[in-house]
Amino acid sequence: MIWATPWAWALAALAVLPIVAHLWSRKQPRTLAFPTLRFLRAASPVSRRLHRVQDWPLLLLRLAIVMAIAAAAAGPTVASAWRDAAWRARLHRVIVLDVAVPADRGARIVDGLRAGVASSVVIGPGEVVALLDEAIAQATHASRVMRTELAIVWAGDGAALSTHDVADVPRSVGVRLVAVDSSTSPSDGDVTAGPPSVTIEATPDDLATRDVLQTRVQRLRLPAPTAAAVMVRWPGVDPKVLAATKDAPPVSPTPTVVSRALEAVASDPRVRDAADRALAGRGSTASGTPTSVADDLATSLEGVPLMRGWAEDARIVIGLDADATSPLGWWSIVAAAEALVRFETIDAAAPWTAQDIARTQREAAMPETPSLPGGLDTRVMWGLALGLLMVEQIARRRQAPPEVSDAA
Amino acid sequence: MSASASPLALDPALLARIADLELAARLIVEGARLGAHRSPYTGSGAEFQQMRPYLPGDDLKHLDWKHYARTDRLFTRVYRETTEWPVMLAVDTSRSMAFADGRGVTKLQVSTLLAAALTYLLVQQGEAVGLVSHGAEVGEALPARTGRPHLVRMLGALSRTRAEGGTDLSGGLRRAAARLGRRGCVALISDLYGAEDVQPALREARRMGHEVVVFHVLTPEERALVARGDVEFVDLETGDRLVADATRIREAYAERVATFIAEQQRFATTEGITFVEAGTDRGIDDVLRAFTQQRAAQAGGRR
Repeated sequence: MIWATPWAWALAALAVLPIVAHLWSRKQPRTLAFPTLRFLRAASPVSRRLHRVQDWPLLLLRLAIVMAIAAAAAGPTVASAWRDAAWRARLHRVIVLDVAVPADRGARIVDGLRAGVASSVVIGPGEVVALLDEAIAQATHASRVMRTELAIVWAGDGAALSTHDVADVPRSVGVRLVAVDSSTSPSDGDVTAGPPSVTIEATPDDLATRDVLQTRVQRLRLPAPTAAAVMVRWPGVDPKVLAATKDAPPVSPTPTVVSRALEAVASDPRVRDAADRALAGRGSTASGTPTSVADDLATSLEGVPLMRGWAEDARIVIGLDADATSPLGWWSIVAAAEALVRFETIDAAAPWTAQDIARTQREAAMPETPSLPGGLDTRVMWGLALGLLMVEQIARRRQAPPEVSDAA
Repeated sequence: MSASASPLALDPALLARIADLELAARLIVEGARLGAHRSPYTGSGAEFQQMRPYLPGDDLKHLDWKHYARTDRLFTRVYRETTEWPVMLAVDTSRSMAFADGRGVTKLQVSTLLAAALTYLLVQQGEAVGLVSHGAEVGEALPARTGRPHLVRMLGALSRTRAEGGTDLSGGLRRAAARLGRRGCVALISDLYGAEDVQPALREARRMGHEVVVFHVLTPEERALVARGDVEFVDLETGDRLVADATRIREAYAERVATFIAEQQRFATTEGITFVEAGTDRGIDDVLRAFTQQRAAQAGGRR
């Protein structure tokens, strides 16, 4: 038996009320003069005192009512074997298979995961990070109609699973990490190849400004596993000279990460304020940024885009329609830096440990809230309490009226 | 005086109903005066008993001359002497007799009314009737007498009885038997409660040669508990209290009362005592009629 709110059992203390009421309101026995107690003593060998409850059925009924109310308030869920089996049988499992897992072991594990569930789908084998978005999307979609679990068969090396990636999984979807080699910790893998850098490209006549900015954003990093470089491009800079830093890993940033980073920059009110002020000073300038793929991060009052961002190769490109020395350019850099710092702070790209795996495992077998069985049992318990109340009312009304005349 | 002012104002309707009853001695009694009942002596009575051969000394007036003429043998006619049948009424006036039935009629009221009816009948038949009312101590006591003046005294004594005190049935029975002086009838009217030694006293009265009649007066409420739920019973005689669930003990109680009554009846049968159940729910005439029928049956069985 599982109780949603076990503290509600404190209501059971109210059971003393009917007991006290019955003891308090006991009827004094009528006095009846009788010729002899000879046969009464023989029939009633023990002369009983009055310290007793006189209407046991009614008292038991009232106690049952109190206990039923307390039980209903506690939210019961009867955890029986058949119910648990039925609960598990309604599970849809999305299985992500890491390419690093040996084929035979992977197949065996996948077979085990597919057994005992209502339905399942296998994604991969492939890079877990690359497959995770699709898996999350499928799991999220499936969780709308049935209980869904995301099972990741993970070798624990090669690619990295960031907490951020797992955090993308909705709470309604359970997470099961199956580490194929438990001795292999994610920390063993080369998850983050050094802090990602932000390279600021500028025209040769603007090197001073570039240096200043470079100094300010020196400590910026992108979260693993994307490790994408951020390139800030100024107008007039030839895109061809812009290149990723050498130390950036050849991993494409996922669209989700890029979008978040850009949104963080674009949502900074100072960026918008700077854009407005820059526009008021010199007006808008045209940009060669491919608008088909870029997101408008900041626009003028007239709707002219001032700052755009897009993913390009292994980099996040932020295109500014402003001079690097303008307030817009300056604040764009600052906002981007702060947003990225905050982004990193929120989703730390620390390598995974065995403890992380254990913490991330989210059991999907048991519901977060006992909505299905618990709700049913609770309603049944409330119904029982209501029924007992009605029976108690009927019993009270049917109690025999007190006798008005005695034999003597 | 209104008819209902006194419990002993014998209802004319009742008297009419019992007028045809004839109370006769079931046993042979030896009264001092001539009466309607058989005497152990033979002699000048009107009831022919037998004929026997003449013996010297027989009164010649009892010779059956017609028989002598036919057979030439002398035979003497023997007559049974008849005598009176004194009856002593022993009325229990213990406190337990104050218990009333559902109609409010107490056992003492029924007892005194029964005693009055018996007195009326016996006096009407010329019999001697006496009274001993007894609780723990003797109350009213009148010797067995005949005549209407004695009937008035008897009714007055009965109307003065009060249910009070404990029970001394054996003492009352012995006093009643002793007051008879010679063989007669002792009629005990009681609920037989609170007297464990009543059976020896009854047996003793029987050994003295008296006919013994027991009118067992009970209310329906005593035979079967009608109270329900918890009741605190108070003993009318001792004041003892007992709290019991009347509903729960009803069956066991009724069973024990029935056993008690059966035991009394068995004892009466064994000792040749007429036992009459005089419940307060029965009419006096019904009780008396049952009494006479029972005695007739017993007398028939002895012939």
